[in-house]
Amino acid sequence: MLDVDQRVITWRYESSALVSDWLGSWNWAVFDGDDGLTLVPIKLPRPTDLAASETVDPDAILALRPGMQVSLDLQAARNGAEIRRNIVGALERNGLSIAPNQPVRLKVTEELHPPREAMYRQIGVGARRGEEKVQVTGERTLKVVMEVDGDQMWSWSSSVTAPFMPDIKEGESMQEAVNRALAESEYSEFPVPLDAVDLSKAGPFGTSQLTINGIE
Amino acid sequence: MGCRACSWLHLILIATFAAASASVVGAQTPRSTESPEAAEPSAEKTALEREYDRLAQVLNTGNRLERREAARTLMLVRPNDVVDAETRKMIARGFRAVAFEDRLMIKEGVSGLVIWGGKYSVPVLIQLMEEQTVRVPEEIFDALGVLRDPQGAEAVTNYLGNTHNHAAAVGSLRMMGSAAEDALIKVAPSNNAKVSLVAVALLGEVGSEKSLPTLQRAMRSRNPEIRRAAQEGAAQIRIRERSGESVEEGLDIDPSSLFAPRTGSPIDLLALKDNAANTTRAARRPTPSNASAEANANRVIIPGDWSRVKELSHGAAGVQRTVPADPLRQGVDDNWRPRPIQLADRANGDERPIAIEIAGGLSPIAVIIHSGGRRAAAARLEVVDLRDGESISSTGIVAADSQSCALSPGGKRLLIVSKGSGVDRYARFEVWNLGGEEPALKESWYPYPDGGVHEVNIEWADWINEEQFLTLNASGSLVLWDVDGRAAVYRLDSPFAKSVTLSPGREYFLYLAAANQSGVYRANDGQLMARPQDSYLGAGTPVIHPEGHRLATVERGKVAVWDWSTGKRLLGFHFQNLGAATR
Repeated sequence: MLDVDQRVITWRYESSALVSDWLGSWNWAVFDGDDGLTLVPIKLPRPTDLAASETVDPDAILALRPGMQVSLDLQAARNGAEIRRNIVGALERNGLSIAPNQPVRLKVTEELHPPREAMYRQIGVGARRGEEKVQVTGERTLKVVMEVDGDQMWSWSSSVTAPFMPDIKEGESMQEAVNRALAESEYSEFPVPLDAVDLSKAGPFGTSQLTINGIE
Repeated sequence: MGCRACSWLHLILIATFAAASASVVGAQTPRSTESPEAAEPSAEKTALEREYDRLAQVLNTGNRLERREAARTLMLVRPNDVVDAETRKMIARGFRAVAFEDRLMIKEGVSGLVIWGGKYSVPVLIQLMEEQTVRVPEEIFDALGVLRDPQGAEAVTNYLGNTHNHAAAVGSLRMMGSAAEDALIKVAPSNNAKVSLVAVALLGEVGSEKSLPTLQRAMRSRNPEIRRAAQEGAAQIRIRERSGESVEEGLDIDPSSLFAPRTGSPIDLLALKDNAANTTRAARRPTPSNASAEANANRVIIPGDWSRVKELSHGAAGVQRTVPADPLRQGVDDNWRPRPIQLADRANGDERPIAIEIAGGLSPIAVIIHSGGRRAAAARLEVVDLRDGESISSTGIVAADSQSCALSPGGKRLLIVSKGSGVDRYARFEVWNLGGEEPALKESWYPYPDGGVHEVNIEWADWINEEQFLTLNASGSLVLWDVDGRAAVYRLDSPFAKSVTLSPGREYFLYLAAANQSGVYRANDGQLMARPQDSYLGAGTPVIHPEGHRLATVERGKVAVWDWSTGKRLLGFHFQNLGAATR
């Protein structure tokens, strides 16, 4: 059960019912018991379940809030300075700043993909016939993991790969067109996860079993 | 199978099978329990006989679509309906070709082989089974099970212990009864414990005194499970021997099976043909298990009426009205304290509830569909009065292939969506009236009699009032159906459709598709009311607040809440590892 206003998982219900449906706040569930099948009504949620998240401050449980400081670990294969500039810029535009040894840490890694061969075939008026083999080098992935006190809260990644349909300029070979596309391509804009909930504070605040005897 | 030897084997089997079909079908009907004498061909063929000839010809020489049509239609015919032995031979050969050459029709091809070739189709079925690379279609195991031939049993035991085919092989051997005994005695001393255990257990079910030495050896096995199964098996056999009970008792062909014999007059294919578009798709319902539904057993089910359907457009991008909140009309009395309700006894040990629906406002009822397993003739429909706290009706009257159900808001009508099986593999709607002592079938029809794989797959259905319901299929087509006349009222299509959600009061629905095709529509006439102001794509199936003013979406840990009236996003946040919302 989620409380969307409090941004928490209030309670977790685990059921061994074979099938179930709702009528108002009654969950009618079919259980298999010693005497055969029984249709059991269970009213959910209980007032005590609802009360479990009443005191939560919905803003205090977000992992990132404007004004906070964030540590940044960057391991980039090639464009380290540019990646750092983009990520720091995005954080600052959202009211965050960089500082060492903070509880919230962004681990940024850029990995180069191994070189590979790709086949392209030209289409359209004046296209060369047959397939062309191209050496693809420079494909890469940027991965950002957000940790709070060492626990992963959020992750994001963006990749630059050889284009599916390269745009060839006049006088350019297919190899040159692919190389240029890879060099000019950029990662997607880093989305600052201002709406990520700190999972250590997000509940659930209790778990109940739904059984043939009702809620336990 | 490209080697020359295999090709020769193939040819020899074709010749053998053709000859076998000729002699058997000409002499007697393999699967019929009735006296099978075939009338002498008369000089002048009747129109129905000429139709059999035509279908037999198409089955052998038509293109793939024509052959499928012919195969489906000929599934309505039995060998004792066809006077001309040459036609019967041609039909048998045609079904053989269908089984080998059309993977999508293997079920019909195999069924046709059993019906038209009887035991003479066993070598062909074994060959077909051996040509499958991984999973052998269950229909082949079923067919060999029905035919109860020791040669078939020996072939099927090769699949015991096979990851993909073990369960079907066990079911097949069980169906064979005593015909499987010799083959099981052979494989019981296997080094594979799984094979040995199941063979020993099956010998207990189908074996005779002949199996006792094998079971006694198994009682000395190092595997305690095998020892126990052998002891139980031997005891079962001794009890049977003492009581004179036959292992074949209870192994009659399921009357809903595609292999089941049919008695009575031939089905008039010409009348079906004249019945507009439904001719070749028509099929018999699986035979219900109680007398009240006997009358429906052979009736032809007709397609939905698409003649007056209105095609809805996705409308202009700027359409934006304020959509009124549409709250739940009938709540539940706060003082109600319902008690657990004991349901009716199961019809058999395999039975399992597969769907429950509750509606009816202040006089709520629940309907539960209990599936009897793959080989059951029918599913059981149970109606429960939640206010009085008792199960008021339990009858095995709905189709065995029932997939899901939806109860009308007042609880007066039940829609059952069946996924179809065998020749009857097109989705089917059944609308049942629930007012009387027992549910009564009001209408039944095929919504997409000519549909493709995705069209016939109904993913969602719900009522907007007591007369009309909406459906969404896997092709993204939303349709409003009017029960009276089985008529499609309007349709809205998008290949990117994700979901349909009715507002709590059922006045509106939210159709989620590509961004420029999503919208809130008025349910009764399909009027586009508004488009979501933010893209809902990737936002999961929405759940609407009972008061009808907000809706929430949850997908892959992302939670968003939206204003129903304006379509504006109110808030959003995300967790990791959170499932989809249900309500």
